[in-house]
Amino acid sequence: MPKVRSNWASHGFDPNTEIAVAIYLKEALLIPQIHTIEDVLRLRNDPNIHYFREKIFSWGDKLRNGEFGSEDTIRREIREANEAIKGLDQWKTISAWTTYISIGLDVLGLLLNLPLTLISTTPLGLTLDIAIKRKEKSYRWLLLGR
Amino acid sequence: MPKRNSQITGVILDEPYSNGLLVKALQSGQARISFDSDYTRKIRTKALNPKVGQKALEMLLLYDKAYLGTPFDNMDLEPLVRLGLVEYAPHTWDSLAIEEDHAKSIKALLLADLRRKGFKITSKQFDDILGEANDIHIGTIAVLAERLLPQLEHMLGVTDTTSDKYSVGEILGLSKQLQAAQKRELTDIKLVEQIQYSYNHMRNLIEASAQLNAPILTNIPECQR
Repeated sequence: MPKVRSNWASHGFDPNTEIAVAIYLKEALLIPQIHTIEDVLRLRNDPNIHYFREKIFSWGDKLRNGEFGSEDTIRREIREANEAIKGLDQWKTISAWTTYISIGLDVLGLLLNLPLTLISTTPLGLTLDIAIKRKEKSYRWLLLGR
Repeated sequence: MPKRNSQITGVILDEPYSNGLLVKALQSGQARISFDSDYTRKIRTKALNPKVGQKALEMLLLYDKAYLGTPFDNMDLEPLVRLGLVEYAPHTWDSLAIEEDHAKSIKALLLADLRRKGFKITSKQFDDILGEANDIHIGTIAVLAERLLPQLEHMLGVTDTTSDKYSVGEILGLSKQLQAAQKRELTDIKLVEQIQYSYNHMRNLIEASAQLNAPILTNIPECQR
């Protein structure tokens, strides 16, 4: 039995997908605390940031391709990414971190039931969007990806 | 920087994040205003949600490069460009013309963009006007030209005035476009203009995203029917 159960109503999607998305969205993530471009320049060469970036992009790839590891693997990877960020001087915790995983442009089309014919549609997009709507009520901005 | 399987290296910043990054760059001396204008003053002085600028910086840390989705003609970004942090996203669609089928396919994005700019437009209004948008635009120009022609002829000292005999629309074969424009209210004409701007903007972002294999960071809101 999975430790996390999706609270969303059934949309007919692969339950493994929903569970993986739920874990990614519910786990708190640590991100670097930056205020200036100088901070960016300094941190871009930090190995902890390289590791963090690798993880974030790997999750994005996995979510887009529907390739999920076990629940334990996902949680371990998030924990490892957080440990890397703890190696920096300043960091902060975010709970809604969907910004960091790009979501297909099909999301809006699916939401509106309108065709966005240029871009392939996937159920995952809708699942993520449902989560985003719940998580990011104050900002509601998306990182729209291909 | 290490390469990833996805080969995504950059991110395209749509407004307000591109503005947020520029404000941060101005604050740190990594960008300069080369020609002050209302627009640059607006960018400098407009109360920017601090989270917007911070989010732009986070993107710059996460990705190798930020592509600005909007040109900033009055800004000197050379220091940022030299550092390899920023580039302008390619601008491949210069025309204000709307390709109807394509616009329909990205309708959700266009509606969301129009609404975030404060235009109250329904899905039905969008559908009603889209098919005639190009004709309305050209027809409006023809109407304006027609109104200006007598003054122009007067200024040029033309005595055998063309405007008494023909309309500009007829001369140019734009009867259909003139009719499309003349039957519309001013609010419709302004709406067409905004749809054109949104289409141009979104089309350029989407094409840049495809060309660069880069996601787009935007604050497009949830868009209901």
